[in-house]
Amino acid sequence: MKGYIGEFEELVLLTIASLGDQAYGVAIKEDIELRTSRRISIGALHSTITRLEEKALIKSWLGDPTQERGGRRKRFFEITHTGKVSLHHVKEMRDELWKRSKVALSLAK
Amino acid sequence: MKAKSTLDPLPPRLANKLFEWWCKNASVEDLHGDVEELFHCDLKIMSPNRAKIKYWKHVASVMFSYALKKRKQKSASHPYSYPSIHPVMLKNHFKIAWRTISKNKVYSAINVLGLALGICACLTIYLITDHEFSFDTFHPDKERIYRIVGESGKGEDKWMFNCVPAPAPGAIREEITGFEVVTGFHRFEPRVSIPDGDKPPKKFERSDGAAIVAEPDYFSLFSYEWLSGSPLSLKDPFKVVLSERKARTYFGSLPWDQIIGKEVVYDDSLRVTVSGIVKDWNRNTDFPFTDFISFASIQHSYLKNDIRLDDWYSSRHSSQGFVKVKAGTSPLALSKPLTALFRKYQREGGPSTPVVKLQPLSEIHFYPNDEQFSSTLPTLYTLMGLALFILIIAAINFINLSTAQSIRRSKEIGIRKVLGSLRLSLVVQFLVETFVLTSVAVVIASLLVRPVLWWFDSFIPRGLSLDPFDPITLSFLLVITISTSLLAGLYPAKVLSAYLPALTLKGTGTKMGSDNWLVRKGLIVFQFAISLFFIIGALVMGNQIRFIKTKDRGFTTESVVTFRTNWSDKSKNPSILADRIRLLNGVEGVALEVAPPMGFAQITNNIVYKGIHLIETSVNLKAAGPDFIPLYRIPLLAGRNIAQSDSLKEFVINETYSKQLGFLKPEEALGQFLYFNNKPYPIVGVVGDFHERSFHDPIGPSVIGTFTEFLHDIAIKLSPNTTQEGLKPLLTQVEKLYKQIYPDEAFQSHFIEDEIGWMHEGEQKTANVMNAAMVVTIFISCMGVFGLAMYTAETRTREIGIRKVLGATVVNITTMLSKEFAILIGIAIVIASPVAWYFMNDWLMKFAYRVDLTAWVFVLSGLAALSMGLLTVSFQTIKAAVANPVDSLRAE
Repeated sequence: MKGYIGEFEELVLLTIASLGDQAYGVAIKEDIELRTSRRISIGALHSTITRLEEKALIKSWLGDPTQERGGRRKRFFEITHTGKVSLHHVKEMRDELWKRSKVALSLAK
Repeated sequence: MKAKSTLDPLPPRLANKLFEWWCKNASVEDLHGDVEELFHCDLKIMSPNRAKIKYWKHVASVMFSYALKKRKQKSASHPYSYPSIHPVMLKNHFKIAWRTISKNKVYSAINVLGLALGICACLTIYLITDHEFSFDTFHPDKERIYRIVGESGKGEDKWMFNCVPAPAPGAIREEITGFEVVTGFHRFEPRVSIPDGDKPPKKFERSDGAAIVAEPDYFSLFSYEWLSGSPLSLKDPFKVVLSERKARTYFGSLPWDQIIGKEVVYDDSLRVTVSGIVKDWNRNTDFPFTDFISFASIQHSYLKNDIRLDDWYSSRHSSQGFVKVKAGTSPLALSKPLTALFRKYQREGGPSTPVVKLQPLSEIHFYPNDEQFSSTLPTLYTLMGLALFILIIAAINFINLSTAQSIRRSKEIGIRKVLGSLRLSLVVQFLVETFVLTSVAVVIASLLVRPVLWWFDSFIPRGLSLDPFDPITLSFLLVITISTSLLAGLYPAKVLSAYLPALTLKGTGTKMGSDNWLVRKGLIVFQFAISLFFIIGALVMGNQIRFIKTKDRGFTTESVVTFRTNWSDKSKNPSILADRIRLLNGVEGVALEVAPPMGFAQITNNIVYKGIHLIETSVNLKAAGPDFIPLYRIPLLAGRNIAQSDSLKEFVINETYSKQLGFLKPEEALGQFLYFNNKPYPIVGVVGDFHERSFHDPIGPSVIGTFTEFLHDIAIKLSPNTTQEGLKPLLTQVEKLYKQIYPDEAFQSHFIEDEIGWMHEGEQKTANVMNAAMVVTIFISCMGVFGLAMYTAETRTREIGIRKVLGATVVNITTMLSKEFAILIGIAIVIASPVAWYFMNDWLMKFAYRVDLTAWVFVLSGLAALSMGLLTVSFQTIKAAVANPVDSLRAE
């Protein structure tokens, strides 16, 4: 499948989507860490973001300078249409696999 | 709760520094911001120290991340910019270059003209040196071919002779091993006639030494392509091998096999048959021989009078010995046995026995005469240095003008930088601009070369021309273009591209300009120092040459014409001819001589005086008739002139010789006997010293006597009332008389003054080059100050306006603007004078008779440079000074 994305990439994409117009490096990192209770390094996060940007799944722009960042600007990310399409692909594939499951996946006893 | 400190802890500075250094130009603002934000978050939940450690971790994780790697790659090329050498960018550079050039026409014209002059000088000099170094470079085994030369005397009196006694090559071949080929050949200048059945023979005048008497071995030394026949045919007497061109001249378009066996007559007596034909070399060579007469003919013809195969004592310049050493043999090691061989055959250990040496083929072109030091080689090296200097000062002009212009362009640069131009691409842009200007200059220079070659015709070797499509010339042009572009363009490009956009756009960028001002001043000083060097050089050389021309030589040369008769004529014909000429109208006197008193030709021999001590001296023999001394008005100090005689009976000596023999007064020498060839001859007179050689050499001892066998030169003193118009018919009459005695000889007469002029031709040439260099450097330097003055006047327009409003006069302002340049030229004078003094003193030291290096030369040169510089500047300064201040101030 074209534009197959990895699990962490999917996670980052969905987080960006969930953060809306406040999706920037530190915010994404904290959100993921809170939600998954796993520690991720800022370098690894930006590497993934860079890859997503290269695949044109997200786009970015620079915001205004902020005091607590030593006067530096934030880079905000937004999911692109291609990004949405590939999220759909992943979701469809999952749903399909869920439906096809020969084993009852229900947790109810 | 703890009180929050007024100063929040900051992230570790070292980590920040490291991060910034690591990221270089990459845009990492957001990443850095993220890291710092994380630090502040961490501060809320942990101690500052732990937060700092965490900060290090964050920084490290970003530093080694894929994200940063990508950002760094991107930084080299902004997403919206092309790399600076991308074709699109280059096209744009050229377009901008063209626009800038056409916008600043005067600057560009000065730049291009200056560069073109410099490059033209370079190109001409390249052509000359290339020509000079191209001689005899095409022979196979050329590095194993040597000429046998001798070196005599010691130290100051050392001299070389590049000829051998006629029997030497044969003896060397017999007695010394280590040579692959040993061969001798003898140049001569024959008249040629080609018998043509019953019709009168075709005749050819003496051509320039194109005929040689050669052994078959000659063709093993140098290789020729044989069109017909073989070298072996030269084993027999009365054979000749002709070159293709010569064969065509003699026999027209006959096929080769019909030419073989035809008869050629040299000097009416040597009849030989053609036995072979070789192809001419069509490369530059010092051996352009066309007639190769068999060596074996010598014994059976008149040639044996000239080529004396049993005479080890005299060596003529026409006799040359060549060897090809065996591969791997050192020529130095062969010098010893050669010298020993010469010693064996020549007088035992006499003072004149030379040290025999082998001169490599590659050097032969540069030692055409018997010289210890080549006269052409230093000239060539000087020329190369000159070319480099001229190019450098032209490049300096360029640098000066471009940096001067830079302030005008600082806004452009600021905007380019703001719009995202990288420094590299600005540098490339300026280099392209320089390249365009240089290319235009190179084209102009190539067009200029032809007129320049024509203009300097007299000291440029013949057959020199610029072939722009010759690959070597083309690559030279390319190298010149690129190196000049880099030389002239790198510094301005560096300066211009270093401008900070914030400063230049705000309009405070002038500070950058003042930094460069110092460099520009230095360059102007350097330029003028070079110009001054040449001015001083040209003045000193001019003085020395005027001195040579006007100094009393001890004899008069006024209206004396000389010509040669047949050297091998042993009869009394020359004196008969002299008597006939004496009767002509307009002739004041006629003298027989071996050569004029001063000239290249010298005959020296040892003469012994048996006084208290035996004094043996090498003395200059001046063969002359009794008319010699009165004709040249050589003053007699004591005694009388030599008397008319058919053989050597008595001597007149010069003052130097008289002193060397120990006579306090010239009168004491009279009646003493000198032994020449072991026979005594009385001294009958002493004359004042006269110059015999060039002014390089001091006057030596000489004797005047009737050495009858040498009297082949006739000097005619014209009577004072002979005008320029009267000269021609008189010479025709002389020629007529000459033809009566020598019907087949060409008649060539010279004014002795010209002949003396030829002796100092080398100096004259150097002086001409100096003059040319002076003109070019002054011109380029003046263009440099002109451009700079223009720039100064422009940038200070407002200042000048305000000064004028406040009451400054035109003179005030002109002085103010000129003063700066005057100081620079003054510094140049101080720098150039000692350097010029050193070199010119060195040059003058080569002359035994020379002018003094006086201070006024330097004063005059300095004044000349100063006035020329100020004159050039004045165009601009006066223009600036008289301008209406209203105009200049309203411009704001």
